[in-house]
Amino acid sequence: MFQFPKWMNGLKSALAVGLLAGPAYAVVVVLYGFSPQATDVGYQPVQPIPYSHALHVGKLGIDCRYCHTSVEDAAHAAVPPTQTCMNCHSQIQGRDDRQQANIKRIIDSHTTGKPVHWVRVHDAADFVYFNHAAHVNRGVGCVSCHGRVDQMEVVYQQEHLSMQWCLDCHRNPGPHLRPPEFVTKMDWVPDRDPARLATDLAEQYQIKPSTDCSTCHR
Amino acid sequence: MSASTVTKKSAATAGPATAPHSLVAEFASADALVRACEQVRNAGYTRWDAHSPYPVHGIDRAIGIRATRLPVLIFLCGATGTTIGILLQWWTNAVNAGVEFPWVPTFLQGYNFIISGKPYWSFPANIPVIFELTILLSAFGAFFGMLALNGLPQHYNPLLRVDRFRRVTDDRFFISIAMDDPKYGSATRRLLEGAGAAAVEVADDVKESAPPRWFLRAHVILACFLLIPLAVIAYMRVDKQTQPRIHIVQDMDNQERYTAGKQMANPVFADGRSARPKVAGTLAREDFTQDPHYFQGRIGDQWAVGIPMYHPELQKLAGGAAEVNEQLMRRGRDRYAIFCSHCHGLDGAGVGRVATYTTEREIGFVPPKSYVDPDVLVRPVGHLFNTITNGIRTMAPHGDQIPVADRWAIVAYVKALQRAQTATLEDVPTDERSRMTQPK
Amino acid sequence: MASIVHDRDNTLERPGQRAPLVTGGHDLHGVTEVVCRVAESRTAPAAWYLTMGVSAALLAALGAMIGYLFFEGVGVWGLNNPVGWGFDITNFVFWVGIGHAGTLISAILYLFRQKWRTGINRFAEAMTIFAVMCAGLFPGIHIGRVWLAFYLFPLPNQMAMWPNFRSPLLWDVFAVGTYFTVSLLFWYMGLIPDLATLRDRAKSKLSAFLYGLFSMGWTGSARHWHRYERAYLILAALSTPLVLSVHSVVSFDFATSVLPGWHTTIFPPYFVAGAIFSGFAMVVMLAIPCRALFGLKDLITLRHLDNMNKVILATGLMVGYAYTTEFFVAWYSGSAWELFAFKARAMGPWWWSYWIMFSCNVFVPQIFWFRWARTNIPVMLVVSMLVNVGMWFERFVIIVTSLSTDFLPSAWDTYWPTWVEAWTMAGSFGLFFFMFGLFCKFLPMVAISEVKAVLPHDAHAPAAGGHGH
Repeated sequence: MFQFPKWMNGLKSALAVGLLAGPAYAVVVVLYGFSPQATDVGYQPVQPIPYSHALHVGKLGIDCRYCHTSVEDAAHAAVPPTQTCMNCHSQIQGRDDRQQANIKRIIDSHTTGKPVHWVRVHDAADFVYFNHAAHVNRGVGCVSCHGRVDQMEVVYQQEHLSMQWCLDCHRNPGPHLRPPEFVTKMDWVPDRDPARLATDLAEQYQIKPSTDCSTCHR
Repeated sequence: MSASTVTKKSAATAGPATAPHSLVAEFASADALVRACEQVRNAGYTRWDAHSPYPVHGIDRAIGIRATRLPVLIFLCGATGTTIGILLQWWTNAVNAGVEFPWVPTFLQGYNFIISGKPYWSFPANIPVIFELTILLSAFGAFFGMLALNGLPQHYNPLLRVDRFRRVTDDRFFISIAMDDPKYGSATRRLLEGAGAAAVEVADDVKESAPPRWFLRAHVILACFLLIPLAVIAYMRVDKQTQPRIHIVQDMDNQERYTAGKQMANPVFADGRSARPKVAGTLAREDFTQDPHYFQGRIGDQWAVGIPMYHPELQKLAGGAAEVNEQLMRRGRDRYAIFCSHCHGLDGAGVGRVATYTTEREIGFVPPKSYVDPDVLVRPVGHLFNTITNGIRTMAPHGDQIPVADRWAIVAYVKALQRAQTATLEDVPTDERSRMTQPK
Repeated sequence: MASIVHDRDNTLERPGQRAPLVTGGHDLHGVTEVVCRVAESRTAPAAWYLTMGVSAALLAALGAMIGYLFFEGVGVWGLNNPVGWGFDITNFVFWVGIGHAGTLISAILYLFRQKWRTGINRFAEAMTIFAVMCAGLFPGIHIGRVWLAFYLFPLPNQMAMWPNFRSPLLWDVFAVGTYFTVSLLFWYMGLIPDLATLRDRAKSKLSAFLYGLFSMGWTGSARHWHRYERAYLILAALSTPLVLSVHSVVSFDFATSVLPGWHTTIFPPYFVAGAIFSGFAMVVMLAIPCRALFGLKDLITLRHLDNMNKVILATGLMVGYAYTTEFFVAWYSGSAWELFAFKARAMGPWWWSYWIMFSCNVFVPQIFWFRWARTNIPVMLVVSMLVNVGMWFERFVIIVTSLSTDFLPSAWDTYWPTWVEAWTMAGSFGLFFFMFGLFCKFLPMVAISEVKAVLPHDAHAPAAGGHGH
């Protein structure tokens, strides 16, 4: 007659622990592993030409809008055409071989008319409507969504761009507001009580973000 | 450690060591069982039980089993279900938690959005789910509560080592009395036989109780494997990857459509450019215009000397005014900072950060002229406008980057910079002069 | 096996004397033998192998159809703009309805102390579980993007979204989910003592291990039985309102909408009656071959079948009453849309499906007014099959006719299923019969311990009283 070993009775508590720990483990794996923090954040594509935002924005102080000209007027912040690069690089052609080789590719693009295939880093899903102008003109700084681009040698995605992340700000926009003239200032800090400033700005610019479905899914 | 291993091994080869555990008495009918139970109970035994293939009527009284607390447990579970049902629906559908409870993490915040014009919180619509959760948790309470109170699962039981006892699930009835019962003694067997037992046997208990090594090892190894996903996740959360997220299913994330704003490669043209250059032999609207003053900074073949404030676009920047005012100047300063300052410097002296950087490193870059250079000072506004639009010498054209009205605002601001830097005390209004000469 | 094939007529009741629930004069051991020999036999009847072969093939077809659906999307079905629900939801409602008989037998008849339930409750409950599995399949796959099915549950996610609890479709998720879980617990709890019986009789180590594992060390302890019976009673009391709520909630999917033909308060009781009707028909349809093939005629007696046929007759009348009332209300409401919807049902493009429904569900069961029909195996087999056909068409008629001809004539469209839908439906029967076949062969088909408790007293305890006296 088959008998179960006596130690099996002792597994009862182990079974109870397993029944609780198993779902907890699954929750941790799904919550942290499937989170956009794990899957999306940190996307840092290799660009066709190693353009450094850290140099051009951080060191040279070129404003974001010098290149991304449409950001205040349009839904999309345009990636500049080769012509914008040529504004300076028709003269500045690099000091060493590596720089010269890279800049030559810009010049080649300009002479041949073949565009540079810059790789899009921040790509919201196509079923989402996002308008840069609506945010930038009412004082949501570039840094809130794109991080310290002025310190990025190669630009990467720093924020989730998930729905939860959007809602976070739409429900509580205060911490991300600043006077609109400082939207491109990467290292801006409020000069007075942040909570008061946020209230005042929300009042001044009528900031009452909607969380209706059709705000973003239209 | 090693000593215990040896004993265990030797025990395994010799068969498990056993010790008497309880006395098992067999009865032929439920009736006999009930009568015997009454006798055992009356004899004052406490650690004993009756076993039958089906629930025997009246045995609870014969043994003296008190009514179980299970119904209370089930009620508590059901009440929990009701509470969860109410709170869950209220929190997730009826509370704007992001505003009312901003300290709650966003992914746990309630979201009260309107669907079909239904109210956020209307009790009738919430009853079904409350009801189902009440039933569900009550059922869990009934099933798992029954198991827990019964001490099940208990796969090993010394009674099951008695072959005769196996008929308890078929057609025989048993009483088992544990030998650690305080009343247990030599009289116990006689009591059972006297109560009509068909047979009385001793059930042995094995002593060995540690799980085998392979069992433990397998679980340790499994647990180690479970750490791998966690390590991968931890790495994924901090690393940078050159490839975009894997879209296992597309879910319309990337739709097959042409989005101009996304500046996708345009398959219609061989070179793929989505921003098209002018077609040869054509003119843009601002090239061919009735208004050369506004669009080109010219009046006839002369550079315009005035800002074309009659133009509505420019008036828009000036807040509706038809003259250069502070608002237009602010706009000009703003745009100047964006488009000009990194080369020309914020003061227009020609030592912006690009100029400084390139000069320091001796990269062939011709720094721009200062705005107070005598050549520049005399240039009319139309000429400055044309310079921004079409460039001059080594300065590239910026007409494509800056809208026309903004260019005029910049021109106005540049003129102000020149004026400010060539100003004398006489330029300051008389009532302000005293402030400027005051010692600090 | 051949020794216990009596068809004793135990359907007549004389005042003062209860007809036996178990025929063949079995004692406790006899009951054990009858039930366990099916699971213990190394072979099975040829019909069982045939059923398993066919249903396994259909099950494979189901897998293929679902795989094809996932890969291609719901476009492979014949659904269109007005008719967004077709075979999928028809089958869902059909299978959920089938399930109801099991719970009715196991819970409601238990509360009413109907001892004859012990012969059929086990496999009726098994039928419930497999039917609800088939039912749950259809809403699960009809959403098109199955990987998003977790939206149905209140799980925290990166969208910070929650289900809309105000929607009847979500009530459905909770109702059917709870129903499945509670039915499974109820069924498994009933199985524990019987699995212990199989464990204690096991010849091979594997079966001793498996039956032992799932019987959890049951020893028939009186203290255990005490809590077990209390838990069983409370589960029955919980299941009773639950089973009534499930098909009510399913009917809300329709009744809370504004579509003519759906928007009616009669739906909840009408759906519950129909569910019990179809469920009992399915139990009869399954019981007839099972008792013959596996030698269970002494435990599932003619009396059981007779009783179930009476239930079929009664619920059939209720369903017929509902059909008639619907027409009356459509006329009496004065709503042109409503009246049109019902005229379209009976005389529109789907008149044939309406009349299949009406004849199978209302006319055919009337034969059960006659005792000879209620105790005649071929008759009841045919009737139960026709009732199932009729009840399937009832759901089809409700769903498709209402959707295809709604308020706006310019939006009307017809519906015809594709081969994928047809094979998916056939496959769901494959799933059902495959699971049921496995159950029949490897688990005790009759609740051994419950039958023992209702055996005539002289078979086990001459002087002790039975239950419920």
